[in-house]
Amino acid sequence: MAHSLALPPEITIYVAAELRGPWLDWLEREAGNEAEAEADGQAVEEIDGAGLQCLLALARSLEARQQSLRIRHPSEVLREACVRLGAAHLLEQPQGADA
Amino acid sequence: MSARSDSDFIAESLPIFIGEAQEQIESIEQLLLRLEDDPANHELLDALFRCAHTVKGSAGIFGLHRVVAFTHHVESLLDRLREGHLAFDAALGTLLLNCNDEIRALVAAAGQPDDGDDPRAAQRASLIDELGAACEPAVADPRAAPVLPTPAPLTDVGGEPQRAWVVSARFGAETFRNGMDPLAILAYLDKLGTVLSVAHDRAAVPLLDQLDPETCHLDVELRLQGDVTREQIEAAFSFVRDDCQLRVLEPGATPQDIVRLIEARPDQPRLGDILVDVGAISKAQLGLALKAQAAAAARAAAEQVPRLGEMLQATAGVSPHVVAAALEKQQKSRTHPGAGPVAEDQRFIRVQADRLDAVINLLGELVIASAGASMLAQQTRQRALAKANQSVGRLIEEIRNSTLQLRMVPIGETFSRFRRVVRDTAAELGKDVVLELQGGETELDKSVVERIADPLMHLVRNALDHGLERPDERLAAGKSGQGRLLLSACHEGGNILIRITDDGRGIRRDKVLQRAHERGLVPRDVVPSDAEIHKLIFEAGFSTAEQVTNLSGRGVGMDVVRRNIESLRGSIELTSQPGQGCCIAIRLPLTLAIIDGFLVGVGSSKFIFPLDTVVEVIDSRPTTTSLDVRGCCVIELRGQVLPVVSLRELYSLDGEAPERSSVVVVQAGGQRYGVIVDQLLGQHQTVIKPLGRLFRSLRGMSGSSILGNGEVALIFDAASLSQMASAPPGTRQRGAGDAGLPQNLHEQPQSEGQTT
Repeated sequence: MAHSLALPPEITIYVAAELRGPWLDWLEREAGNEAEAEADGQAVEEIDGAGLQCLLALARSLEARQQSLRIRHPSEVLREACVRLGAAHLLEQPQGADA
Repeated sequence: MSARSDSDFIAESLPIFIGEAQEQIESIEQLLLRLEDDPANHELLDALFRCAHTVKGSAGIFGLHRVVAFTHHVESLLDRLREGHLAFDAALGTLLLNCNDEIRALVAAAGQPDDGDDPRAAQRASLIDELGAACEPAVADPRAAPVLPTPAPLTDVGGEPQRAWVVSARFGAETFRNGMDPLAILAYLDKLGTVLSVAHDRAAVPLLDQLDPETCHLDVELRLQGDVTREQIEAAFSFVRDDCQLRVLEPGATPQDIVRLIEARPDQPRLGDILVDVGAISKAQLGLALKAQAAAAARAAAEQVPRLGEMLQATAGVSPHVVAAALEKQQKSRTHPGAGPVAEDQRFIRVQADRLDAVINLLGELVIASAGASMLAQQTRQRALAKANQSVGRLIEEIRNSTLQLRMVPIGETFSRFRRVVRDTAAELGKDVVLELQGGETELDKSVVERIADPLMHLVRNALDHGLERPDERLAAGKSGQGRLLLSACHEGGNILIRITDDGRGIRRDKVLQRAHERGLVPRDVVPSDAEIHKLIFEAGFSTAEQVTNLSGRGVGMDVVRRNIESLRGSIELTSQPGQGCCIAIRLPLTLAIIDGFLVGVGSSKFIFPLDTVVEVIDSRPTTTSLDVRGCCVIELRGQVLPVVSLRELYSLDGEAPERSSVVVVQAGGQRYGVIVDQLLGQHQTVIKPLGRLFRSLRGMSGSSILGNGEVALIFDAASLSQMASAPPGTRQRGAGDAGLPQNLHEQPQSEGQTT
């Protein structure tokens, strides 16, 4: 049974190394094998380039397993960061928008 | 790299980091002070941010967590300033200056062994609170809230309606570790213009299990529309410029522009990369063309595979000129592999000061040895050898000059440190003072600069504390409320002249004299001249401040300042107009190591005058016999009276005076006088050695030097020799007598005589 990954409030260079382990665990145990693996982004208050890169790496790992990462309920901070880097495809699209 | 060599590397490099960080911290301070005068200057803010970033980044490499964590908060505030959410004001300036002091302390502590104690933690926490509070108001104010970028249309690749800059950046691996955030740069670009589309290279980011989260793999390409210049776009990347591969392609760039870019860029073997690098095509276009090429290759035999250049011409609309230029470049780089251009940023080399000192010491020995060789050649009358020695000597002189040049640094850096001192001290004393700096580009020996900083600091504080008045006092005295303090430097002969001038209350003669009488420095019945009264201030145990304030009255008297300056072979002089201010002039030699000297002989002794102080010489004139008891007299030089002093008499040298003698005309501190010597031996490269302890008390001398034949020559200090010759007889303990020389020396018109 796939579980959504709850993204923490801070995803920055200062915690990136600490996030990697739990995220790899999540990949192994809880990401399931459906086409979309979900992460919940509502708690994210702070994210920087290094943090976003971690998320991109996570998405890449999922892609390697023929899965795609979908971030649900992205906070404004997270949405802004993804848009800035051209990674909006990871975000749950608002109703009516094309993917 | 193993953990062992890592820690070795860090231990070895830490002093370099500390040195560099201190420079950055110094720059931050200067930038903050300049920003106070010019709060709207965006460039200053950018530079400030960059400095703080650099400190944070390199501190991160050395694992200095306290520095990183604290600087991070400072940076957040700077970021808000830079983005225009906050306006810089005096209060923020003070806060940031205090924070900078904290960073300085943290960096300094990094050099000490960490015992786990953190005595400054509480102070730091309160600064962090203040920083947080300073960031707050803008958040509370909805009008100032950051404007989110309009989400960029991501499906804009198909049509090509708008002309836009194509900006492509592959950030360096060290970007994060250097404390930089590509997102911040993109946010900044977003403010420059409208970001039409942005994409990152997904394949550039490794899988999570292979990712080192602190290594940057981000590679972004965006299209930016708006009224922006290439410089503005490139400036956005200035923080990461060193290791970021940045390509900026102008809207509607002509093929010629692109060809020029191709020719200018470093060698790269692949055609596609060349074209992408100069921005002739985008990565997406290259990807498409390569895919198409691969597909065609799968269908056809090798010889029929369309060439990439042709395909790009067809699919991406690249001009044939551009492809030809790129192919040519590719050809060149294949025929000359490894012939890459030297990186421009290698123009500076950081050298340890002691290595440089070692070279200069060796050079000193070389100068002495070469003098010995030429002397030997002359004595043995081998003309060919003498000639060869001459050219060796000339080369050594050139090496000497350029080596000493290596140690020269502008004094401006030292000067600008005083901005902060003046700002804080004036505020503390309730005074309004403007500091002016002049001649900051004047260069002098690094070791002199280092040793002059403390005496200067003391003099500046003194001027602020005792010299300049409070605004009400100034207004009452009919002056403007704002006091003026001028620090200036210029070259004067072989010396540097540093002046500290204020327009304060000046020196009050009567007070100085009264104090001197109280302290027994001057007998009660003697009333000295103004110049002598001013000199009293530099005597030991003299302090005129009615209250010892906590600024300048820290037990370091002006006598210590004078001693420090004299130990640098310098002199200090004070002039003052009561009510109008005071000027302290410090003369220092440009270098402490090797000088051009002028060698003279008296009896069997040899002496050296610094060549810069020698104005002219009068060779072989009948020896003056009308000397007074101190060996002084006057002679006529081109219709002018010139006071002269005989070295033989002054220092009681052995031997009879010869029938004819020579006079060296020396200039010191605006005065000119002659020195009678037996022989003129000519110019001499002089390696200055300190005088031994036994000779410390010898006045008029600043050092010694070893001549080629091993003899020792004493080096004169022209200024103190002049003072000595003009001192009242009693203080020189050379018996009574009171001829006119002292007066003559002081009253001598300065315009007399011509230089040679």
